[in-house]
Amino acid sequence: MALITDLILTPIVFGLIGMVIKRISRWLALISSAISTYYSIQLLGLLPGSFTIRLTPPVPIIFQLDLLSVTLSIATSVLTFLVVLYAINQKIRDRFFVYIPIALGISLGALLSSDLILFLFFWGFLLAIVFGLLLVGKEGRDPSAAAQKALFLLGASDFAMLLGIVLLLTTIGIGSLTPPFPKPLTSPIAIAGFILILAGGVGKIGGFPFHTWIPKSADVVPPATMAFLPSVLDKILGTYLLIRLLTRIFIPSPSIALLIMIIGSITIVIGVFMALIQPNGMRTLAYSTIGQAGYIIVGLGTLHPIGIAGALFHMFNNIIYKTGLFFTLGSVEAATGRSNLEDLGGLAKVMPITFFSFLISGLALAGVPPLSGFCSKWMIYQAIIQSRSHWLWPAFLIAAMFGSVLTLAYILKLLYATFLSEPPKDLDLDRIQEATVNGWFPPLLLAVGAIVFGVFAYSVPIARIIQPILPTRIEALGFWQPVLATILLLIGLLIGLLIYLFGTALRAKESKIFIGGEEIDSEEGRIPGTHFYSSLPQIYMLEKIYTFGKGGAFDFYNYLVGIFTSLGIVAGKVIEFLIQKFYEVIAAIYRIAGGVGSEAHSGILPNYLSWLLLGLFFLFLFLW
Amino acid sequence: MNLLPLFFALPLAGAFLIPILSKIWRGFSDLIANSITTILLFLSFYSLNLFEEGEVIIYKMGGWPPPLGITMVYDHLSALIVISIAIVVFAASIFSIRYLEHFTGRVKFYTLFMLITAGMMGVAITGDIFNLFVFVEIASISSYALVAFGIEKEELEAAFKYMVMGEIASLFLLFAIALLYGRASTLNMADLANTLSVAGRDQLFWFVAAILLFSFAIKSALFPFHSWLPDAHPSAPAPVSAILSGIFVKVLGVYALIRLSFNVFGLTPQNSPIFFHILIFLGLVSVFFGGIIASRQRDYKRLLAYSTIAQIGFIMVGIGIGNFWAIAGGLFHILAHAITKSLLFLTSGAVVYATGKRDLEELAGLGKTMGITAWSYRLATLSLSGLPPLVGFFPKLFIIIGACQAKLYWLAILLAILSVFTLAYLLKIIRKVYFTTKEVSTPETPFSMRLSMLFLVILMILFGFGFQGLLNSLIIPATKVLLNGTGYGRAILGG
Repeated sequence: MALITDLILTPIVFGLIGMVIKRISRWLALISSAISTYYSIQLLGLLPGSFTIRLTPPVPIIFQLDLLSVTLSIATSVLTFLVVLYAINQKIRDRFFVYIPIALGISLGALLSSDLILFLFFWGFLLAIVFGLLLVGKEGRDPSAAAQKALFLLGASDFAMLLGIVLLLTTIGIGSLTPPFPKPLTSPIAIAGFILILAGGVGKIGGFPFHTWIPKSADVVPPATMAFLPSVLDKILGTYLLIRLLTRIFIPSPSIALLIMIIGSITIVIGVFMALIQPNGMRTLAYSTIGQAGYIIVGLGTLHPIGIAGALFHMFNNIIYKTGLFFTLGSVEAATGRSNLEDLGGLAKVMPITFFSFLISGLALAGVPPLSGFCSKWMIYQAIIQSRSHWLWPAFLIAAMFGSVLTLAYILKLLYATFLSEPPKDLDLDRIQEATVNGWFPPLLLAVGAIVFGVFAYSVPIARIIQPILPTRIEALGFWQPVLATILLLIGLLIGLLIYLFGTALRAKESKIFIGGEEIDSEEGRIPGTHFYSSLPQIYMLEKIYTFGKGGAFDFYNYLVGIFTSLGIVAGKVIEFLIQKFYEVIAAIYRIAGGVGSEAHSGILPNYLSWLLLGLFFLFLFLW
Repeated sequence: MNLLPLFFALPLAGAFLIPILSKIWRGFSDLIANSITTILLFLSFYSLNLFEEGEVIIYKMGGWPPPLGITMVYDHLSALIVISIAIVVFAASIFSIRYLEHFTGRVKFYTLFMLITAGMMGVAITGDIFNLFVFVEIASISSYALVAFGIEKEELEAAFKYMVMGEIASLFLLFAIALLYGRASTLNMADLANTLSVAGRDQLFWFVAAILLFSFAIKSALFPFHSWLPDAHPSAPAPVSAILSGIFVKVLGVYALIRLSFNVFGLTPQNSPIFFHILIFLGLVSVFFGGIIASRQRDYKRLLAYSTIAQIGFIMVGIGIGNFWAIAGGLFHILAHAITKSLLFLTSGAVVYATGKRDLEELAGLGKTMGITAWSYRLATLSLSGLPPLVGFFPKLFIIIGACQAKLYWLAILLAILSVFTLAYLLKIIRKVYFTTKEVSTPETPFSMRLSMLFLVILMILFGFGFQGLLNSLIIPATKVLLNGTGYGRAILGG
């Protein structure tokens, strides 16, 4: 019991001390996240349990531990530790290190609290800290507009959740996140409450339509903030709330499942297609965060045990590789001082460890077997097919699969543009150095994690982490044996390497390019990665790229990819447009009503007196 | 010993002593005013221990028994209002010490300050309806003078408009009292409650109710009776703005209205739905227009003044819903808003003191140099827009709970959306005044000003974390007083 209060209070107190003594705040953040990690692992020994702490006599504060909340607490603490370790010698303002441990403590409180009011308390507090964290900008950037947008969107979703919880408390009498039995969703009030809380969860996880603050923040806040907020904290808390809501509080109906899957699919489509056309690495990753949130939402929406397991697994995978990706791109930015893809290139030679981490994490994100992203996506596909809850299920499957394909596309673009392409002239590779130990170690560790979670998917994460959390048994999922596949893949790679070494590699020779006797400026011949998909809407361009392709079937495939890509872009644009219009309508109401109101306040006494008279007249009319 | 008369006798005495003693030494004005507000603060908290829930302390003026003489009545509702007044007045008087360096006439200021305090305190504890009118007038007339205190063109104009409208309200109040007296031949509120509940409801009853609602709607600045407020409140010196916006409109408008309508007229949502629907309607319109117009203001204090209209609207909606939690929320918001809004106005005073400007477009970058002021403003913003651990969260939560219980789900949703507005317009000041990264060299405000702001900040946090204690000892008993209805009369007269 004391352990829980220690766990929650230690980081908060350390953060507050850091607020007073700015100089040591970095080290306090590091130490407190390490202590939290230790404490949260200790919590495993207390399982399962529920603890009541009475602060003032009438308010019991109830914490409840089960494997889900404890596992997520450990994950939060560990990832926070890595974020602080990564950021500790970067040029970030000290306030960052004040907010991080406080946010950690509050999130742990939210994860462990059982009482809905207590949960709400932590959740609301977190909003303020998140706002503060987003206000810590990159050097020379003003993050206030982005932070305000985040505050509005997250505030709106939090308000929805508050309302939903109040509805549940007052009408159905559900006061706990972990009631003994889930209730069926029958009465309209329960459905209203459910949907409002759902909005809170979807908003936290970064799903449609609450997602737009993430890309807006991407290039104005430090990479460490991006790694911490949308990719770790919000994912964990959002997934936690949704799992509790869907499995412990209510038994959702198929129509609700349909709603969730539609939201998830839209989120995937928006995230992936917008990621594809970003000129900036951080923004690409931000949209990617949104797209991956879509997978989690779809997985949960299937309501199938495999889908929920897959969503949870995908959440773990996602925080592992996405954090790694933000770290590596952050290192690149710190080393070069640039973030636009067009100004980068060729860094693989000078930053080999960062490159390796990025490669592994990126391929894992794209779901390349046998890395971690593949298996969880595979489980989600399986669940969509098996549940077949609605005749629309093929659409969800197609959205998810195309999302996966295009994820590979934008990861390759990032990989090429940042690490492999010809560097631009003004980028002096000799002066760029590999990140310091604490800069390259966390992403490397996460990359190793991505390998382990992929290759040993069944024996390590599913059997040890996911299965114990979930009540139902996860059955075997089709024919996919990651270890065997890995061995085959490695053999294939070995053969390929041998052919490369003894075949072309020794014979290749570099020579300068001449056209018409003129030596070409290297800058002219350079292809920055940003041009990769700039021509996507024009399908005939795709045909040209693939003219060396092999026969009609493949061309047909290209054609299909082209159609879906352009459809997706159009859908993405239309949805963005509709959201924009919605905001504009609200703004117009605001402006017009405000304008009329301000005009009416002319400051002329007789006018005001006539208002009084009119008001008196109506009072008489109604009352007398 | 019965301490009840001290609440208004002390400031009244102060009002007479200050001009006399200041002839001897000028420092007496600060000294007397601040010591009286300090005593009032202690007294208001101390007197809470003197009686149990459901009990009433009665003081008979001159020893005359209730229906004949004037009585002073102190129950938990009065206690809530008295505590709110004492807190705001205490903070404002400390703030005034240095703030008045900008003005001449320090003695006159404190005299009026003491009079307005006495008036408000009197309204809160009187049990006699004509006496109520007298105290309303004492408070109102001193507030007209205080609004005009700067005697510039704008201040005089605002004060004139305020006076015309305020006196219309007062005259209608007097008219209503005369009608009531003609009807029931008594001015004692308890006796009046008994007589009215026996006499039944005819045309005259509703006529008087409508006139009273009109009068108090002007005093509490409900839309569309609010038009005096956006001119008057910003024109006053900052500590007075804090009193006017923080507590004045609530005592003279909201408190007087709910005391008369619940306890004297015996109105409940069940027996007079139209009256309560009107309250909800007026409240919602105030919240909506107050919020929207606030977000368009360029003037620091004027923005806050419109915000006051919106927040009074929240209180009115809570009262209008009329079930237990909604009323508790409304009453709680009286206290919460008193603390928060007066804090916001004090920060405006600090900014004016340091820079001499109120225009948001001209102010910038004060967050660095005026740390305490900036943090006070930020915390007050978060509190008023309903962030959980701070005090402003709970009232709105209770009102929304009340709306849900009354099955007014549309209202609950609307309130939740509208309270986001609060954040929107208050953030504007943070963005313009405190956040901008512009280098300025404004000194931090003097110690006494910071002290008074810190006092309110601490209360805001303390009442937020300790809301349960506050709820049990003050808010819930006060709510029960209102829900008791005309039982008020029997409690005082006995039998």
